[in-house]
Amino acid sequence: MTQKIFAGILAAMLLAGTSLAALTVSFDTASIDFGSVAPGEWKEAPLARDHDTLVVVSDTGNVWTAKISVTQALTNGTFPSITIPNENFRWMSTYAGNKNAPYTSLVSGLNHPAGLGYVNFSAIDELVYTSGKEAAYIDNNNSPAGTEIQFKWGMAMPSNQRAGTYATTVRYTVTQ
Amino acid sequence: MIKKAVIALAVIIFAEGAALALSASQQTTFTVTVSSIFELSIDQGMVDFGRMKPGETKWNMPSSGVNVVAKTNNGKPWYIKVSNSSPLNSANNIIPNNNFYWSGWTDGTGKWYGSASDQISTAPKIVYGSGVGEENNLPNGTANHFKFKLAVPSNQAPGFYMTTVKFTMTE
Repeated sequence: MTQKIFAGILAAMLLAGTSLAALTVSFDTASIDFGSVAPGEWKEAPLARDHDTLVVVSDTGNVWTAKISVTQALTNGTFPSITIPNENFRWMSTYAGNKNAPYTSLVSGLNHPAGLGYVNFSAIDELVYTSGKEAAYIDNNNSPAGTEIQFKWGMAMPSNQRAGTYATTVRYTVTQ
Repeated sequence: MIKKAVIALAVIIFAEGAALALSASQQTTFTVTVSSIFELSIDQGMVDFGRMKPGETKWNMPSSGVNVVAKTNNGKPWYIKVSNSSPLNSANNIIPNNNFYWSGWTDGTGKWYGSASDQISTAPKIVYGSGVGEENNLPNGTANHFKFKLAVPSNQAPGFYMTTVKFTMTE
């Protein structure tokens, strides 16, 4: 009898532990193509809407952060030794808020608000967002709506860039 | 005793849950196509030798030279050739190309094929071959400079003679 009680309590606690560990991240676009860019040209990525969206859902109640990095510099598909430097590839976090109701603006959590403009990419994780900064809605626990962070992308093509097609991978990491 | 053990275990598990670090990630592929630049430009569209007498020769026209700038980011060797569309002509009269010369110099690192006495011809003749690093010479390009010499034959008929000199960049 005692053993059954013990097992039941343990199972309940493990289940509780599982539900505490819900921290998910999703991004609405798998690939983004700048298209053709001339040497020396500045271009924003053409987007289906005016932004791309990262959605983070957490029910842990703990502060979480979202960071962004690039796995490597944009690399020429034919000549891998030729790259576009990371400082020419840029991101901007234009908005943060509840994904669904109550649609509270959470821009106070942005490390680089839109007013600061574009940020150079780096292979080192750069802080994008910290939860729990908006008193009107503490999004440490934002389930099920989640927090959305909107992005734009820019390219300042070097004036001496070799012709060709270049690619890289951008990574979004959410940690608590 | 058993109750105490259960309580102690629960404390340990919850403590571990609170300290658990969570992380999740997503990624996106970005692509961009850098457009090809392959262009040749000149700074003067007209070279006028002015009035010349039969038997007269003029050198170094124009005095500043015609600047021909080649730009590419294609990463391939290239060369420039020069030719003219036809001999200088006025109505049915011509000044044969063996009286019309080109010369010049390069600011580039490649090979300049010209000498001081190259005659213009309707068949393109090589002038310059790109050097190391000039396969991608943006943004400034590679400048070559041309001057022309014309010797009007002593029996040349009067008239306003014209021809078109063409520079061609090929990779």
